[in-house]
Amino acid sequence: MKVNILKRVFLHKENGQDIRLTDPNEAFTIADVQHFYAGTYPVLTNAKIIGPDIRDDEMQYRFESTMGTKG
Amino acid sequence: MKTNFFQQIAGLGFNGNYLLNIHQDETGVQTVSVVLKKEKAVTGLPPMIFKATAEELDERFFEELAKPVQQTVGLITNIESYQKELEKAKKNAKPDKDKTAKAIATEQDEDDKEDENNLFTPPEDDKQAKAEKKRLYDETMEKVKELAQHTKYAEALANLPDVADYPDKAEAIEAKRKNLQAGKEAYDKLTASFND
Repeated sequence: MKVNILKRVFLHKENGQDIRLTDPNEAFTIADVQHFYAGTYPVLTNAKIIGPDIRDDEMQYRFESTMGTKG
Repeated sequence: MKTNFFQQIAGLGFNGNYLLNIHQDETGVQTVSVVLKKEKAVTGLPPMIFKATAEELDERFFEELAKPVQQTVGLITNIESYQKELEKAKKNAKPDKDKTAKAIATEQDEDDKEDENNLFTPPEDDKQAKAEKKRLYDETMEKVKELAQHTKYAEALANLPDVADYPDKAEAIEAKRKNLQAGKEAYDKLTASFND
């Protein structure tokens, strides 16, 4: 029997463009990952984590920004 | 204490923002993400991730970083010059009279794409002829298929398009020919055994 640990992949949308964020560190929790990338993408600070969706042999987490338009 | 970290960055040759994020965990492993940003020239570049101990990072970090950064610089220069050229072209552009004709031609060309082997787009004039040729080929193949379905293998073989006319379809034609030949032989055998 072969057991594979699925890779984690984090999807983030910026300006309508999908950015695939690779797993920075397997030891990180999802919240850690979010925090880690929040330095680069400030929008992630308040993002919701959706998933994981298991697709193409990966666990895909989606960061969904809750930032909306004001007014 | 003297380090050459910033001089190394200067040596990479990228002008813009470096977004570095360094995370140190309790096991002594550092996770570093690097993103290059330059106005709006490139958006959506994913971060590069480096994960190693501090010593390893000291040794290898810039070695590993140099290549992707250079590639990014190349990309940005490309995009910038492309945008300049694009604007130039926009200024020089004249309204196109046969726009609709062109649109149709490109549409047909898209259909062609799946069996087009060459990477280069043929000249505009070629497109119409090519589409016509493709239509003819499709029609013939359709006819052959129909004939084969009615077990008229000999006729189908005779109707098969000439490889010389469609060099890019040679493989498909040859495969069809073999298929038909096999069908014909089987059918002939069957009729022969019936007649016996």
